[in-house]
Amino acid sequence: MVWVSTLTAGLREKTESLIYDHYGDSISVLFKKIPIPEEIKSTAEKNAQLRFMQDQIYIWEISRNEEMIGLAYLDNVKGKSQPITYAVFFDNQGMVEGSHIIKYREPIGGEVSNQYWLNQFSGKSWESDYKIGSDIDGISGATISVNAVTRGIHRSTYIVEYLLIQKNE
Amino acid sequence: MKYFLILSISVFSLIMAQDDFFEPGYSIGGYGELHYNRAQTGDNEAMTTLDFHRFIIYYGYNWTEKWSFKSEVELEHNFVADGEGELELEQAYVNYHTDKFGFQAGVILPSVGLINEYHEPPLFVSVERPEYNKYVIPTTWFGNGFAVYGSMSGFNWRVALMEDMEGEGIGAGIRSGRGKGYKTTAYDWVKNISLNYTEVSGLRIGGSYTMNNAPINNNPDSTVSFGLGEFNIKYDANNLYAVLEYGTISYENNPDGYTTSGGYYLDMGYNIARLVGVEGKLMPWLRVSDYNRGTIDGKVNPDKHYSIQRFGLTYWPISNIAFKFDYGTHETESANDKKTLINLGVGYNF
Repeated sequence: MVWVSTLTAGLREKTESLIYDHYGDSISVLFKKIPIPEEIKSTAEKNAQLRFMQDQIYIWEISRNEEMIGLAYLDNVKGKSQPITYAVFFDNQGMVEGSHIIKYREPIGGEVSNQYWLNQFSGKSWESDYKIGSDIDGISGATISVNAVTRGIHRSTYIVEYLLIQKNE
Repeated sequence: MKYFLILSISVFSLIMAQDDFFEPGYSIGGYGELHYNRAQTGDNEAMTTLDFHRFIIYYGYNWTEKWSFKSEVELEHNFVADGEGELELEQAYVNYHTDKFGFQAGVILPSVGLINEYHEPPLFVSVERPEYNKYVIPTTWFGNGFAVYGSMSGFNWRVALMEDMEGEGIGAGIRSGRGKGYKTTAYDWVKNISLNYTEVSGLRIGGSYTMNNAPINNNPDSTVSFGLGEFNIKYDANNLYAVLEYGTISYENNPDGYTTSGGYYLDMGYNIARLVGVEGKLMPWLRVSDYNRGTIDGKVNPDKHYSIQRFGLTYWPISNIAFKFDYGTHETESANDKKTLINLGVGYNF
């Protein structure tokens, strides 16, 4: 059990360290584990062509001077045989500002962790196109991971858009 | 802020412990390809074949995040009897994997060339694998052994130790020397080291060296020595596609007397899907290749020296399915007539 705790804490530590790197030190973060909102779940799954692996996701609300400036999202997609844990950082309009692979568990296809590839998602939102080969470059030998992560990030944009609308209402 | 972070981590670790993302379980995948081939030499009657060339089932099981099992079983030519077709256990290994390094033991693949490890049909443009990846690099090359691998700063390295090759099978290349995991020996071990770099978008650049003193008829005192060095580069982004592979094998005591063999192929293509308004990826491409299967002291055997020119059109409606057409010529230096080949194929992976 100690091993499991260390592992999951590692995921959280890594994500939060990246959050501070991205949004800056002068922020406050509010961590939440939330059930996937039923109102948007099937839309997100259908449009991204990918089902959720679990019933919950992890969210960090990022604020500076009491104003919410962004939202970080942590979830998993299934690679060839193992989950790929990834995080997406959004601004407060639901636009992707950065993406990271928090944990990759396979011997093959790890190139999706490379930041040059993940940077392609910056600037995208739920309204963007995510076609591999035209909108997103593929990676030779990492087809399954590329498909999974691309769909996972696309899926996250719907959830975050929904959460931001809820927050503003 | 950092202290707060550390404190919060220790608290949240208890909360998140129950949400470990990993779940033990199995996974299934596979790939396959159907080929139509028409070959005509000079004015002779053409030979046409329709062949479900490969059918592969991938099966894996994960015990923990670090320990897993992975396997691939391949049926070639859709039938096995009387020496026709092949049923092969191409991969079956226990894998230990961490962020920095990993370890494999079982039936494994050496890291040699672009296609040996990444051989799913949607990953190369031609209907058939390039001949280079058959007669220079004996793809799919698999066997019993161990490997350690790792990555650092975009560099991926791997070292594999595998069963000996069969010296009596080496001659015009090393393809027929593959033991395929069947009652193989381990006197000298095939030693395979590779390095590749993948930190630039769309680019993969790598190379490997593989050597063995291959026992003849399982006799360690009578061996054929070879060293296979190869270099490969692939660029696939911004609608451009380019592949270059170059390899050479040197021999000592080759039963056919050859001292070296080798060659190259170059593929160039451009994705025109957007230009013509097609969904997916549509790519006309061109290949030039030259290789030989036997050179003695710098003098190539003209019966074993081939030049290939080929162009094709490949369509990926989605990245896991490829429809392929190609046309080209195959010329043997010593022959009067060129062989003309027309191929059609469909391949998939999942």
